[in-house]
Amino acid sequence: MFTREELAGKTVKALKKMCVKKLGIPGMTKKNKGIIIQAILDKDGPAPVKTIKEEVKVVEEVVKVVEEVVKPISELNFFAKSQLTKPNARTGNKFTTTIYMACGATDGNFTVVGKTITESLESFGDILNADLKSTPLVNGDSVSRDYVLKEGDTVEFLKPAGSKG
Amino acid sequence: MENKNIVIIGLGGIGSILTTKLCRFLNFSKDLSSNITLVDGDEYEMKNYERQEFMNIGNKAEIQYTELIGKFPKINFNFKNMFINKNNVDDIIDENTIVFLCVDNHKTRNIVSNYCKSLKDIIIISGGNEYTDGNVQIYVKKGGKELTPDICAYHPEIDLPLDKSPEDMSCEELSESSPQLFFTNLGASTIMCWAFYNVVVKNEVSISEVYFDIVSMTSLSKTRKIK
Repeated sequence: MFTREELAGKTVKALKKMCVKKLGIPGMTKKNKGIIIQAILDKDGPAPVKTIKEEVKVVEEVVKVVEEVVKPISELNFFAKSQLTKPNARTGNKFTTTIYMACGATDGNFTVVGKTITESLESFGDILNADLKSTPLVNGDSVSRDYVLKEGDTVEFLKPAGSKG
Repeated sequence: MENKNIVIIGLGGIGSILTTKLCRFLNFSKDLSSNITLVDGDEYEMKNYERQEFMNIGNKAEIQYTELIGKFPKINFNFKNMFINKNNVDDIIDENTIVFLCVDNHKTRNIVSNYCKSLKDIIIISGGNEYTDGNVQIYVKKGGKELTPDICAYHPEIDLPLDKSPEDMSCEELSESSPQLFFTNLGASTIMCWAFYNVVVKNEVSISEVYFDIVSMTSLSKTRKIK
C-alpha cells in the first residue's frame, strides 16, 4: 500500500509502469500524474492509519529493544583532577570558587580564581572602592600585579589612611 | 590602682570628641588613675563649632584643659600649647605612654611613629578620616617587642608624607581647610575608644587597623603581619 506522498515522489513513467505491470490499471498512458496517483490510490488504497493503541504498542516495542541494548549506568570508573580542592581556612572543608577580597571597610567574596591581581581589580575595583593603583596584599604579603589568584587566597587592597582629624 | 600616662595630640574634630568620652570613662573607672597631657598649637575658632567640642575661643590645648579639669577631677591634666616636631617629640612622649594621635596631617603621624619605634613600651592609637570614611591604627610595643606593625608599615603615604605639619604651613594654608563631617570625626573617635578599651583595659592585642565608612555603615578590622 502506498501513500500519496510516496507516489508523488515517483516519476510519471514509474507510475505508469506500476499501473500496467503491478496493479493492472488500464488507460493511464496519456493521463497526468495527479490522475494516475489517484487511480493507484483508488485501486490499492492508502496506507491504513494506525490507531493510538497500535502506535503505543510500537513505541513500547522500541523502548524494550533500546532498554535491552542500552543498560542504565550503575558505576563510573575514572580519574579526575581538580585545582579547586584546597580547603579554605575561612570555610573549613567546604570547596569554594570565590576569593575573599577587601579594601578599606568594604569586602566580599568574588569569582576571581585564576585571575591576576590586575584583572581582579579591573573587574571588581569599583565594587570595592579600590583604586587601580592600590597596593595588593595576598594572605598578608605583598605580591606583584601579575600574581594569579588561587583557591584559599585572601586579598586586601591597601586603602590610604585618612589624612584629616 | 593602675596609673596610665596618656598623651592626646591634636584636639580638633577627632581629638576634642575623643577627649571628653575618654575622660568620662577614666574619671569614673575604679581601677585606673590617669595623667593626661593635651597637646595642640592651634586655636579654636567660631567656624570649628559645627564639629568640635569646646566652649571658648583660644588655644585648643589650654581650652580643653580648662574645661576638662572641672568636669573630671580624678584625672591629672596637663597641656602643651605646641605643634609636634622632631625636636620636641621626645619632650612630650615618654616610655609607658598611651598616645592618641588625632592630627590632621601625615607628617606629624610620621614624626610620632618614628619616635615611638625607638621606645620600648608604647601604645599609639591613631585616627584619621576623609569626608565620610576613615581608619584607626593601633601600634603596640611591649618590652621592646612590637606586637603590631607600626603605623607607617602598610601606609606609604605616612611613611613618606607629602603634606606639611601645621608648623610648616603658611597662614593661608592653615586657613584653607577641606570640609569634614562631624559624624565621621565621631566615628573615628569612637573606634579609638574601642581600641583603648581592648588594648589597655582588656589587654587584647591582635587588631592593628580598623577601617570604617559611614555611607556603607560598615567597619572592618585588620590583623596584619609585622614587617
